[in-house]
Amino acid sequence: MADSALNAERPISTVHRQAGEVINRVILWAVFLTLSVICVYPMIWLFLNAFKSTNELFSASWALPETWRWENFTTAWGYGISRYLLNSVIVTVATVTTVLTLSSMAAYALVVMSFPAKAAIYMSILGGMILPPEVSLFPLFKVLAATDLYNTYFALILPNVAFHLPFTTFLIRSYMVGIPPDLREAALVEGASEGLVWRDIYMPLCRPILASAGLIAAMGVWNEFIFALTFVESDSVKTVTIGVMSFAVALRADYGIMMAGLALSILPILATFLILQRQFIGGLTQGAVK
Amino acid sequence: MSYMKIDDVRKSFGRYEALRGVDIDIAKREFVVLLGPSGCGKSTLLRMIAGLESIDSGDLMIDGQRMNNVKSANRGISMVFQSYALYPHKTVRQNMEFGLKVAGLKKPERDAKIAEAARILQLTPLLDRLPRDLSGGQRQRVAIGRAIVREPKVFLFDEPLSNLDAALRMQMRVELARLHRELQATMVYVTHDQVEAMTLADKIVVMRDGLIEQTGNPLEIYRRPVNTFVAGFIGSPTMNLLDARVTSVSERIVRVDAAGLIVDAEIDGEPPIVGERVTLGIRPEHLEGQFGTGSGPSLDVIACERLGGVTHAFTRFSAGIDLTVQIDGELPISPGNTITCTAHPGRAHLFSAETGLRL
Repeated sequence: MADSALNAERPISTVHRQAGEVINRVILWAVFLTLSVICVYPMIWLFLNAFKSTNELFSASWALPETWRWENFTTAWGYGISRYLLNSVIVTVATVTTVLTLSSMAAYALVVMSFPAKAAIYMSILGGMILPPEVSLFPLFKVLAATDLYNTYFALILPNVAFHLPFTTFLIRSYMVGIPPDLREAALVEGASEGLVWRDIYMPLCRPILASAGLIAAMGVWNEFIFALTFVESDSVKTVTIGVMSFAVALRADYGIMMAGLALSILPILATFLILQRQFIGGLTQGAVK
Repeated sequence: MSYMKIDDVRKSFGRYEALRGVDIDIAKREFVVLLGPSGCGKSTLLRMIAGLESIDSGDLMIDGQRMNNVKSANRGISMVFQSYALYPHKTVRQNMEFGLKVAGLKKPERDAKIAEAARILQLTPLLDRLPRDLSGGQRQRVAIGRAIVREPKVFLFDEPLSNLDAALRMQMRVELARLHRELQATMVYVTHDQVEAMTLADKIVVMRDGLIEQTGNPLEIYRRPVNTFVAGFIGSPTMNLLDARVTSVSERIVRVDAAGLIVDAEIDGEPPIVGERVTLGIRPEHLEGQFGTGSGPSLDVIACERLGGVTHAFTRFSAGIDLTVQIDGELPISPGNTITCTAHPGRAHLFSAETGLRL
């Protein structure tokens, strides 16, 4: 009796569950669709208007360009955006390389070695994450001025390295915890030094997290504004974020060319992100789960 | 003359004493197996020999040299890990080459050694594969190959076969025995599998709670276990250990009665007095079970393990005591049957009921 009642109810509950799943999915898709429109639309708008003249931009800013003015890009390039891009590339590559090297070394030590105050040291590295860059602007400025590093690439590279170390170390450490300690011990028995184990065993195995962490750091450095505004002043070292600003001021009358310049300024990092987005997401979740 | 000597070695992790004074002498070319349950300190001891753990006190000598403070790499040892610890991003060849490169050997020399090891272990066709493309047995052989190329004085194995399935494990046991003969090497092998210990070892060291319980060749340990722990640990199925009472003593022969099972046992030490309580140890294979009424007590069969040639019958006395008996596989026995059993003369062991030590 009880059994047949249960059997009769089962199909109804299944139908309910399936309907619930469909509704859930529809809501989820709707939310994601809205989010992606919000995120992507400004970028599409920027790229479309980069091909327009100023008049056209104002008269029909939502429409496709009447003629595709590629010359906007060449003009913008000629206005000095190339120099800013190069500076950004130099600062980003140098920062990311340094951060990955130092962070992976720190993470290696934190994972495999035992030494006094290990937990405290790790905590103090993580503590760096809560320090907002703004509060250190003035002291950093004084230090950079005193050491003659003001208005050089180092004025951007060193502070950026410092502020990206904590999170990068955190990410790489989380990943290294998952590498079997036997590998290191086997290498040590075979005569390898800790340095060689780091370089020859751990670094190759950490390639996925190095890509993710590197990408995350690269995005941060590329878009970094406040240090770039404060610690350098000449065009020869200005990065693209500040460069674009002065560029915008200079080209107040020609919005099409300004849009082209802006588009150029985000292209490298956008392309890098699109190519490596899988690593980017992987890196974030790895950090989160472990 | 011992080649490797472990002398009163101790190790603590915080308050926990992992090793509480261990002495082992190992001769050149000897195959020594450290055997014991989990947590007995056998792996810790192996890691101390390898230099992966420091030695709190005591001495480790290899080939006449004190090794306590010598770096792993300079101890002349190679280690095969339970997990194999193959470098996942390196090919088989690169895995074997790593240690040789670190040691600064020239390319032709490295190639020659790798080729020789690959020949011995039949790895030649696999040299350019990555570990993930190999089967468990092949990975195991690469791990051994990596140990061989360095031509160590002593090989250390940390439960190397525990990740393999039963058939492969047996095959690798035979391989290891062959390898030991072929390389004429000194080997120290850690396992909790007494079958591996019995089949591979020249010498077994049975450990428990950071101490050595007994050291000896496999048959010696099987035939004359020094206490009830060793008696219960070596042999499969495990030895029956029963409470018994001494009924008569004549010189070295002691007759005991364990709930109706009357057994004569030979003793080495001081004879017990009549009426004293002792522990009787008797292996299932030294009991003779048969249907019908025999001279021994009657036993109720609770469960049977048929192995084909023999059957292990798990039985219970009327008094509620369990007894495992090995019987002929041809006998049509099943749970619910009643059998009787007698002991093979001269195969029983007597232990002190208080200390568990062999009498």
